[in-house]
Amino acid sequence: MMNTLSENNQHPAVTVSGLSKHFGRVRAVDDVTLTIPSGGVYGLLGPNGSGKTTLLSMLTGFLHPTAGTISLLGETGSAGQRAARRHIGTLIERPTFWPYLSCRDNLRCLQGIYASHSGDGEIEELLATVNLDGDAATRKFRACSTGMKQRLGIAATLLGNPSLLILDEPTNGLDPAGIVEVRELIRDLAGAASTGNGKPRTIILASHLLNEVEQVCDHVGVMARGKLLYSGPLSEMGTTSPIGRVHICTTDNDRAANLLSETGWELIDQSEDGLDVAVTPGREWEISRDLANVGVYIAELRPLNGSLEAGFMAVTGESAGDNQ
Amino acid sequence: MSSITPVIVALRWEWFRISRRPGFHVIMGMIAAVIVLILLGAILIQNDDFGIGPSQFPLLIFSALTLVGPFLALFLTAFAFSGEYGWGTLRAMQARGMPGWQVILSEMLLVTIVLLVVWIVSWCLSVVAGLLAGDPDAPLSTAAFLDDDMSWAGIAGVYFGNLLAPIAYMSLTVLLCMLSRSTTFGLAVASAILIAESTVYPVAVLIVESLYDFNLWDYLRWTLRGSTSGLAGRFDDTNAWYFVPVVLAYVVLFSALSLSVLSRRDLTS
Repeated sequence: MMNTLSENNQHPAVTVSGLSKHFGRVRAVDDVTLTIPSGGVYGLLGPNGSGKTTLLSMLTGFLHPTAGTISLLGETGSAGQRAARRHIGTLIERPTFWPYLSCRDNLRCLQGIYASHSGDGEIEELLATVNLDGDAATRKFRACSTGMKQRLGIAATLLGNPSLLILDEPTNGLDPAGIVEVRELIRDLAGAASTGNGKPRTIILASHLLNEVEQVCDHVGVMARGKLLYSGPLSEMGTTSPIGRVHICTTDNDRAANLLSETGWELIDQSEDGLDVAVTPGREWEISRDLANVGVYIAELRPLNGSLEAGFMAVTGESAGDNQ
Repeated sequence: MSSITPVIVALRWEWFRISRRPGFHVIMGMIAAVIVLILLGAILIQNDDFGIGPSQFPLLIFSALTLVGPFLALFLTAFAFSGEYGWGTLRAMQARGMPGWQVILSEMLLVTIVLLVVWIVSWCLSVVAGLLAGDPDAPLSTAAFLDDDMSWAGIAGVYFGNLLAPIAYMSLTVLLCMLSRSTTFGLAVASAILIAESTVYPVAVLIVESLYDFNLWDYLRWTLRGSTSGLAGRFDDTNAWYFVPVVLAYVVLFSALSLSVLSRRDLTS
């Protein structure tokens, strides 16, 4: 029997405050405070080991927080969170099913345990949605390919038409065509304004693939070393960072590099194409001024904050190449 | 009622899963085969005038179940519980807020029901065998199961009282599986405890009693197996029923500990 959540749908999908999880001396998640608005797709970005999965596992109740509070769909406390979790579809790390049951029977079993009364029609619809209908539906889970298992995992998260989906690396193990399918599915799910019962649907998508997040998310959070470094609209990531980056090409790059270093500018990279310089957003003109004063003129000045990759680098201070 | 309904739902889907496991029907078939073989052997022995009458067939089956019941409970519990940690399906079940106590209770109820079915079917088979092998002119009760002047309470004690020990061992197995996160380990330790109780305990009783003229039984019967042995061996003694709450206390203690472990421990994949 599905419990009824608070009638007020204006609450955020997720609110966490001072959330921490320590494994011995390792601070997997360290004092994270975060609000995920209701509706839309929220991307949780971060390198491997940054704490994304640990954070999501605490939201789903698989891990007990060391400290901090969680509010899910406006519900707090253990009983409230348990009620809220009836409306949350979860795919964390890897899909977990009974290996000796078929894809269809696994979904039927979970549908029964979750007390979703949508009937066999829902099962067939979900199997078709993730392209596991036909013969694939009767295949035992242990005999499924990695991609099939992942798609079955996504189908299971959709049982009961939940209003919050938590997807941790959902395209793991999928071939390129499968990745495109899953991304389109996520976009379709997000595109539907609500779950059909008037409640907005929220999707939390954890990934270390920047382009994946860029394609489907409207808000993002960036984690590194257990800390949440940024949370907000995707379009603003990097620009709100106190440190931005610009790429400049000058009439004399070597001289410009020396001059900028001497005058206190942080030179991030130098190549034949030009220089990457750290700069506080809005003060890029000062670079032009300083160089012009000594007779070096800028031929090109391009902000690097325009891409998610640049924004991610600005926020984490890491090389994006390390995270691909 | 609202708390019972989810347990019944969970129990139904427990049955859905276990009845589809490849080994389940093999196990049930083996149990049925053993019971049938015992009865066939009893009929042959009875025909050879070895002194076992048809009215004692149910008691024969009862004795066999007393011996193997706890092992059967351990095995079935581990079978039903196996993989839930390893496959990660414990997480899948709890992902939508299913409380841990419902998971544990539904697993234990399922095994209890399967054991009960084994007990009832065994009893029915032994009664039918007794009727077929007995004197056709004898009264039904004498030919089937009422050997002497046994009361109905005594009969119930004989056939179902010894189901309590397997239930206690079942809850012990669940606890050990929870603590070790390994069905194999849980099954091994529970079996070791059972074997130790079954072998070391009677020898210890024998030695102590012979050396010191001291009735150790009076002090040690309150062990898990001793409690049930007391109930099973003294079915005509109403005092034997005092063991029932003791065994139930074991079940409650082990189950509470299992639940405590499940609710406090992180569910990692």
